[in-house]
Amino acid sequence: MLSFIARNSIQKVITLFFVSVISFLVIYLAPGEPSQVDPLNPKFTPEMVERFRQQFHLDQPLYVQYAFFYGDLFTGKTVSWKDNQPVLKKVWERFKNSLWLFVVGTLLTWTLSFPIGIRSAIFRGGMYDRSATFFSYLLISIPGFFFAYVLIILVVTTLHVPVIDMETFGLGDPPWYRWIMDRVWHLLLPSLLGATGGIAVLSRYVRSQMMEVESQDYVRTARAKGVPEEQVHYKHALRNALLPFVTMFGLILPGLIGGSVIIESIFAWPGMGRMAYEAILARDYPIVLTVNFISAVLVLIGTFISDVLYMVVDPRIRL
Amino acid sequence: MMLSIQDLKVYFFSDGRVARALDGVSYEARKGETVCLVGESGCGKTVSVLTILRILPQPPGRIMGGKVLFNGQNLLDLNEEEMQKIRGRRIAMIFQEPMTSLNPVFTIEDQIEEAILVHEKVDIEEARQRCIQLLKDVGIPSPEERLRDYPHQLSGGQRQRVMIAMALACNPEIVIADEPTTALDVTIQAQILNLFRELKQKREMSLLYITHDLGVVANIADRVYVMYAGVIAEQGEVAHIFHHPRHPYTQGLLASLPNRVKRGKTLHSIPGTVPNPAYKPEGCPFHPRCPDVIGTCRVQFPEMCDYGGGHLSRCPVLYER
Ligand SMILES: Nc1ncnc2c1ncn2[C@@H]1O[C@H](COP(=O)(O)OP(=O)(O)OP(=O)(O)O)[C@@H](O)[C@H]1O
Ligand code: SF4
Ligand SMILES: [Mg+2]
Repeated sequence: MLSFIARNSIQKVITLFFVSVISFLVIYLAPGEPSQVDPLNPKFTPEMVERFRQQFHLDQPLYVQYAFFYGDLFTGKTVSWKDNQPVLKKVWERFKNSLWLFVVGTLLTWTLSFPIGIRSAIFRGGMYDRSATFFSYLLISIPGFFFAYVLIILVVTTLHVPVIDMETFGLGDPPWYRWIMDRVWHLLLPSLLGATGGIAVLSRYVRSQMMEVESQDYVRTARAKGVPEEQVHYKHALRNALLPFVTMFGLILPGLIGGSVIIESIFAWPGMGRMAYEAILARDYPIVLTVNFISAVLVLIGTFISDVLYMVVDPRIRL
Repeated sequence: MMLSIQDLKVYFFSDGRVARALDGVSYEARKGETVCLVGESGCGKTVSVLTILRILPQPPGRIMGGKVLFNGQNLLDLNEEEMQKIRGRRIAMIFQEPMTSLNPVFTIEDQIEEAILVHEKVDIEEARQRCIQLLKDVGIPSPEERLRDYPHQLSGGQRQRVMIAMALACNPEIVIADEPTTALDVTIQAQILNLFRELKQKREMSLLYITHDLGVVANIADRVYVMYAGVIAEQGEVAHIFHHPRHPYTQGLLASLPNRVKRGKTLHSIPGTVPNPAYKPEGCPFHPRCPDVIGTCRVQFPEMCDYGGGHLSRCPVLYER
């Protein structure tokens, strides 16, 4: 186990190095230039452009630029080209905002998908299963942005609560219960919307996984032993059906960043996805590369958690 | 009569077709008796025993008629809860595939103890002691150490021994073994077969043993039922069936047994294959492969003919000869 963790960590660090090199190259090769050093930008004189180039080390060879960038990143000195703010601080602010959406959305997705999928599998072909199937395909096929506007209109006109942004504009410093209620109202729609697609897909996947396991020989063995039906489903079948989801569970971490650009944009939620998107448009490379690096780290941490969890839950995997 | 199946009909409904897997099957097992059910792959052996325990997948399967009498009570009339009290406690079952029949995520101990704990109120320590004793009974060396193993840590033969231990956990009145050695290699097969014989001598239980190997039948059975395409073709005491087979199918099966063929003669095999239960031939289901077929065989479903002493055969043609 310990040797597995050690080996795995070393592998992941190597992978991370390659990711950092490749993403740096991709950014370098991408067309367009930051507006500050674009010779066609009428706001800057050639002297200013030259100063920027020197300040950003753009006049140096590529590997020196690479070393400067990641050196700055690890010492926390990287600043945004747009407003000269420290990147890590900006990212951290946005990260905290995204975390709200991510946690509530993920909780909704995972707590709802499993009961729905399992019930569908146990009563397959029945009324419940068929309606669940209908609604999942409905939710999968309605575009998210359209559904978002329908929900916004519904909630705002019937309940008269503000739902855009993270808190009501000009809320000031209200008592804590008002603050919580305000936060809940603002979180509700975006996290629900973020979760619907996930619920529709994940519950289908749970259903098929559960059905597959239900037809296995060992489930028949359990029945033949006289194990009550409930226990056959929830002990013998479910334990096996859950195994593949352990892998998925680790892979949801990166969703923290990329998962919600559209929803964050619709609801004007100041999250990471939106920041990254805007940074790409503005060619604010320090932010793009930092977010990229963090998401690579999240992917690797996620797969690492998966691997370890898998070893814990599946006795056949021992390293 | 301990277990008696009467005129059981089970059909499968899938893809708009009806597969008549069991077409009126009757067989019985008396107290303490070993009964073998033989027949080629697909003739309905497994379906018939799954129906006894009512663990047939329904749908696509459906029980169309007949009775399953267990000590005089028709199991098909019981509700699910009453049935659970019989499964594993009074009728236990061992399956064909030891590799997949044990749950991969639970230990051997968990799975055997569960078989005890679902039926009996005993504390965990007693359950563990019984579990160790059972593993000893089925010939697993150093059982205390095996308790915490997972199925994948055992060989196929050991897994089948664990399955047998699980089946014996509550001292059932009858054990149904569905081709318990088919998936194992030959030396292990012989060991498991010996284990069955040993257990039979030590315990008061009936054994319904399914196989497609007549050699096994000669080894352990008191009586034998030969099944073909969802019906019983011939039945009787082992000596009768082996020395005076009265059905062309049984005769064909016996002729294809390697140790009965004189050296130098080629091994006989029955031409053709078992009919697909969705497209069974009219009349006698065996007629497309039968060497003794006559005109009426193609239109008339044959009746059972009684040779006395419990020896019955579903072939009027040979009976009248
Ligand atoms: N789940 C099912 N769905 C559809 N048809 C089935 C199903 N299970 C069994 N059958 C049909 O019932 C017939 C009998 O199957 P069964 O498993 O009882 O054969 P068997 O005698 O046990 O053969 P084997 O020696 O291969 O185990 C098969 O030919 C198949 O067509
Ligand atoms: S009834 Fe006819 S076809 Fe059937 S086994 Fe006898 S001789 Fe053969
Ligand atoms: Mg079978």
